Amino acid sequence: MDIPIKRMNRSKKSQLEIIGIAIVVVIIVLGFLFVIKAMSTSPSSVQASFVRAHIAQDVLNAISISDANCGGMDMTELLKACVEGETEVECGKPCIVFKDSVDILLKSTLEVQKLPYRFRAYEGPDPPKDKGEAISGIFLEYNGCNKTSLDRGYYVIKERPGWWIIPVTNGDVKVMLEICSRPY
Amino acid sequence: MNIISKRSQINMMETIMVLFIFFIIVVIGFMFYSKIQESSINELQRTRFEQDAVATAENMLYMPELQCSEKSVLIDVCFDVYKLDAFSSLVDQAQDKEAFLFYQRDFGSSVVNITEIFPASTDPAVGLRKWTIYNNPPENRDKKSSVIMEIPVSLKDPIKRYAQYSIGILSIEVFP
Repeated sequence: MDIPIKRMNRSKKSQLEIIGIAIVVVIIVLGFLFVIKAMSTSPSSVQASFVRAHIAQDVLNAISISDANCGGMDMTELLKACVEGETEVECGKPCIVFKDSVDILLKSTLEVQKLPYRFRAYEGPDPPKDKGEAISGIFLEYNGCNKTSLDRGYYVIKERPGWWIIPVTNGDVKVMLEICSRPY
Repeated sequence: MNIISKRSQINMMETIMVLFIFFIIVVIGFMFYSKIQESSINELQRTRFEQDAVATAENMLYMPELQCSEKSVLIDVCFDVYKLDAFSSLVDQAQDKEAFLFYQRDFGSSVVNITEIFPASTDPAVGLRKWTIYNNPPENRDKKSSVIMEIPVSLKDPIKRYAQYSIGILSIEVFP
């Protein structure tokens, strides 16, 4: 009679210990979840998102009215001359001068701030996928902001792109400037 | 009697050890929690500061004292270079203390510069112009963290007959 009671007591004790271990494991798992949650919240920068949200349109607004340093022409007139097939303006071939000027500008505005961008000029309804489809190869990319990295989800376009639309004899010329961001 | 007493002592020791470890875990958890709370408070402070910096930038971008216009229509994110000349000399601590104090309410502890970047002037004597619009850094500037914003702007030279517009960078450094 004495032996079964002893056995039962031992069995009860084992059960209690198992419950104790289970509670410890649950507490440790909860602790880990808390740590992971606390560490995963990345700091969001108000100032960085303000700049990202405005900079594309600000750059295009500034470019559209700026002097092109080409016999009194502004950048809009220069792009118009390029699209309408003028072979020569006072400072050279309009398409090349336009592209070089935009390149200088984007270097000193977006590239200085390490902002990946994609700048495209086109005439049709859809934006060009590569240089060949853009007007005179006016298709500039920086820091891997391209179709491949966007398709793979390495980058996303979070902010509204900047637009600059110029009416020409055959329709509209559209210039689009997108800023790439990391998805997280 | 002796064996029972020894067993009880061992049980007591076991309970004390369990409680001791439990309290150590609680203390470590509390320390970790307070660290996280501290960093989230710092993050909140940083966010508030950045919001103030953005407000300063917005104020600067749409100041009627500096904005340019075309036939009385205001142009978005554009500054008149003659207004910049006048403003930068007016809001200079050394020259006009009253004007400086007036704008200090809006811009606080910050440094605002505008640098022309394009097109490069054909006249090498002129070069690319730079204006210090507001200059009020804290005394120990190097030790303080700051928020820097660089925004592309248009610059208008209304005296010119053609090619009035150039491009500049508005650089705003705000200190807490």
